[in-house]
Amino acid sequence: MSKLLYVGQQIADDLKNNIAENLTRYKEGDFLDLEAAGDWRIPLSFDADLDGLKDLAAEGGSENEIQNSIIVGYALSKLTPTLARENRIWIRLSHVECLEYSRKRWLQANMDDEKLAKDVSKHFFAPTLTGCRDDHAISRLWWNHHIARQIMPDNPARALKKILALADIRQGLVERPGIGARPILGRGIIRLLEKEERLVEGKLFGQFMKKMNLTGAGIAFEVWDDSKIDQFLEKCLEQAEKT
Amino acid sequence: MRVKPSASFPHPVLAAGTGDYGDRAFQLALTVQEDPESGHATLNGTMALDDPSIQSLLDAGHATAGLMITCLDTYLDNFVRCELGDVHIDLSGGRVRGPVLVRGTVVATQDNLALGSKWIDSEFPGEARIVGMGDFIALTEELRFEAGLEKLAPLESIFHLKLHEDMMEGAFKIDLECEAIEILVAPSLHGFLSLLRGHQMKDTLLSSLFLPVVMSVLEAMRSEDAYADKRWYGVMSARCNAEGIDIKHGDLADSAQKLLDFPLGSLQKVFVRFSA
Repeated sequence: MSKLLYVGQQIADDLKNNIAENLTRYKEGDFLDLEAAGDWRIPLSFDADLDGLKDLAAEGGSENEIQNSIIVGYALSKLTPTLARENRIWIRLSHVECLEYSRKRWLQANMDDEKLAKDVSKHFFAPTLTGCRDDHAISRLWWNHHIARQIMPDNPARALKKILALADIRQGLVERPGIGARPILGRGIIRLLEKEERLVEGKLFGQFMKKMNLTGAGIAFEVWDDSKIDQFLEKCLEQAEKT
Repeated sequence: MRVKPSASFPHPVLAAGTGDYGDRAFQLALTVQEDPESGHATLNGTMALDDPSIQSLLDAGHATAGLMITCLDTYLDNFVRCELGDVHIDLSGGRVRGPVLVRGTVVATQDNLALGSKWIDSEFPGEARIVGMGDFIALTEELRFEAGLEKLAPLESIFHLKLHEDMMEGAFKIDLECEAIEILVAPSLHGFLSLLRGHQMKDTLLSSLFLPVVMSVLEAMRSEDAYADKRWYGVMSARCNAEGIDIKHGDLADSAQKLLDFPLGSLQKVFVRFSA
């Protein structure tokens, strides 16, 4: 265990402003000389198990995404949602401890420099809500795990398996916080996904989410019990199948 | 969950602007205590309703009161049950950052619940006065606050005065493409401004340089989100949210003056001081 570190604001600004100048470092080098010399080691007050991050698998696919999310979720389990929106923590991780993973996962050796710079900006920096939640190489994994834990506190892996099974499901649940951030609805959707395998076929999940949005507007589901939620979601699924 | 202020319902809802319950009111007043460094925030205040019929639904357990608390930036979307009267909500433990929306509500907790208030507008027929479990019976106005450190960042931290050989003497331009806003000036003006920033008259820069710069920046933020990933954008957004400034529609001059704490007043003070 070691203290979780983040970079100083000037370092963060310089790295973002100078992506083009640092392309070789992103492609095949590292930032260790800069890290040793500059303001790269501001400690947070709690420990993180950064050794675990060495096990991140750089190949794509939902199985790896699930496992990687669990690894990051456990390694950074003391990070709060407020801190998890801090760009400078994620910049440190993607440029130092997780550089190798971030490079292999998100950069391609044969990319032209312009595309490479764009991808570096997208996956090595986390300045906005969507950048942090959906794009940054490491923070997206933390947010996957956090959202799964919010939905199923006792078994986030169970929720992760469904949320990350298809890009459409992550998009529907995670990228639509009006639904995914409400644990009672999130849990119901996970139960339905486990029960109805057809929900992941074709575009049905997207149609189902649309129906749910429409039918569920203006209802405080938080006072419902699980069985009433399940009935409602099944009805939305039936309606979605008819469209 | 968040109910949009524009939402309408097929049944009567006691809320400002609906007129469904005549002059009856449901009000939430909160003060926010925040320690942004540690991520602690607490909400204290009162929630009050003056319709006895809804009060009796609450007393009988046929409805529940609560707060809908939404913070998109931290993926928080909670319904917190609480009784009318004094309200105390603990949001500590790093749960909020950025805009936080809070709205009080009374929600039906059973199906086929008849709303029997004598204040309900007569245009609602009997069948429209029946609500189901989860339906809103009353809504307060939505309150909003800005959580986190960004709003406290000094504006100076997002401006960078930069020497630019090609600039005309006496003029400046702004460049929004970097993480901080770059104010480009010619060499001799750069020297003068650098000197002035360390001088007792430095406040004259607020109205002569920063006021037009902030207006331009606000205009750029209004027209497109292309700069949303820049650090300066995050700080400006947080400052605007904290000051209640509507970036999209607010008057540029009014907004810029507010953000700079009314710089012409500072200019006046400088001249009074030097004239004395």
